[in-house]
Amino acid sequence: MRKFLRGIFKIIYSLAIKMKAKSSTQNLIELRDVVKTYSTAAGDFTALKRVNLQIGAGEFVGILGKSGAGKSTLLNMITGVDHLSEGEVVIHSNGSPISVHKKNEDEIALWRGQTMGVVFQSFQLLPMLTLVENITLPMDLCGNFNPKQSRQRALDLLRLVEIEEHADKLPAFISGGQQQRVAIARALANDPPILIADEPTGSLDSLTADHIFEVFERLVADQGKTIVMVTHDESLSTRFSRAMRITDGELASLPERSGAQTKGDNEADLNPKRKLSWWRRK
Amino acid sequence: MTPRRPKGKSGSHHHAMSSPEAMIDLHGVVKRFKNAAGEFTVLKGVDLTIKRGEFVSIVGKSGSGKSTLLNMITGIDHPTDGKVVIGGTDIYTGVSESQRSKWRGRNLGIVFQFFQLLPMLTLLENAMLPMDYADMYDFDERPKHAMDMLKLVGLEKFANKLPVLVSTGQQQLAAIARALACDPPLLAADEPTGNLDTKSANIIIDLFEELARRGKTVLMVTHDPSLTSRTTRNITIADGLIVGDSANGKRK
Repeated sequence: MRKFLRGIFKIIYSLAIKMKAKSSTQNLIELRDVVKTYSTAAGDFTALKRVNLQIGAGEFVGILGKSGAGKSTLLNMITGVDHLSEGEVVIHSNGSPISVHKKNEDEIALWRGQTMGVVFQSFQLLPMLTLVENITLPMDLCGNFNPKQSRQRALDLLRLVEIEEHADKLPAFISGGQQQRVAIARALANDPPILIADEPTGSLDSLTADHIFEVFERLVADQGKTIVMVTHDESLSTRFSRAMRITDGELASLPERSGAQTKGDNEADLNPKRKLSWWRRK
Repeated sequence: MTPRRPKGKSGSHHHAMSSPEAMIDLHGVVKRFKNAAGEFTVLKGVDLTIKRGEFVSIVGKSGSGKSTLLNMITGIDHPTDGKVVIGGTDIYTGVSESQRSKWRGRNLGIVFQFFQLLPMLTLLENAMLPMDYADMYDFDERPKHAMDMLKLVGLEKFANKLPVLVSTGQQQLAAIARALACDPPLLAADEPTGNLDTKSANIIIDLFEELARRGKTVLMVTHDPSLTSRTTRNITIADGLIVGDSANGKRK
């Protein structure tokens, strides 16, 4: 019996690696020579200086940097919330590449709602809506679920982030860490493949921050989400599958940590883990 | 709606039943919070009647209970004791928990100090949100109604912009457009100018004045005494009780 299980285990493992090898031939997120220049009264200020970045499916990428280094600007370029000055951002979700900054505002809003969930430092829940209503909102906007389905899905997501007992409360009556859990659940509402997080632990105490980080880790491991997180918290750098640093608008890989594999191996390492954890849960 | 009327000296008489003219009627509202240190009574039996079309400021120091009072009126928090009647409806016994967001969406607009716009949605989309949860207007008509509200606050040119690309003053104007989305008779604002420069703050107060002139009831919590000269009535709260209630005569 054990031998049989081990055999199955091996097959699944090798399948997983093959699947990964196949999928990693294509990047999910690609930034090509991205430049962002702001014009101010004091003159032009270049916030991003020819940034190139490729992110594969299932990666958990951390972008570290000080305040003003260009971290949030970089995320705004990926989400298309702000316009770029030069270059291109391409997202390869469900097969076809989309050049984010070449779509018009209407198209991009719907596309973004289905492709990316965004989590902010200050949570940004609507104060006059209950937690479950905050989560059904993006589903209503994208129209993928009917009202009954969307409430059930919202409750499922609240369970995933371990806060379902508060479902019908207003945000004011739960803690900051709990609000951030709700914000993560909301970001997952339309089941996007990509999560973008802008200093999601920045306004939380260190214990709560750790719990929130674990939620992100589980989403990568169990659900295969691709996460790009910006943070100034250096202590998190070793917990990403890949960490980068942005300094004065220039992006660079962090030195490999001891015992860590090359980037490619790192990705390959991550994916079987996800498949196995999925298998374990069945 | 109601014609302007000269304001008497004191606030008003508190009738046992809310008069049809009353937008807000509070009867003996008590709010106690419990925490590890014990019990703390934030509101100690507040009676207050506000009529339709009034533009009222509630001032008080930090911790006086002014925001708690606003939370009682918006139904964001529950009173420990007493009654809150808005537009003739007791919002704690007359509206079920599951219907409260819908009720709130249709009956009152709320404006916050930090705007609380959703960052991934355009100003137009933000202004459409309450129509969704209040289930107002046909789906296809919503953009037009939202655009009308953006025009009212002077933001029609920015309708398709995301909040991050407009100024903080414009973000607050968009938040007001959102609060007005379902044409509620009552607008409740918690320190709406607390995060704005003086010029932007003045634009917001001008807009509130105009809305009151058009018949909306506007209730604004503020700690800025310079704003109270602009409202038709000022209520001062200290230690959980109303300690001052005066009318401003000047109103055109």
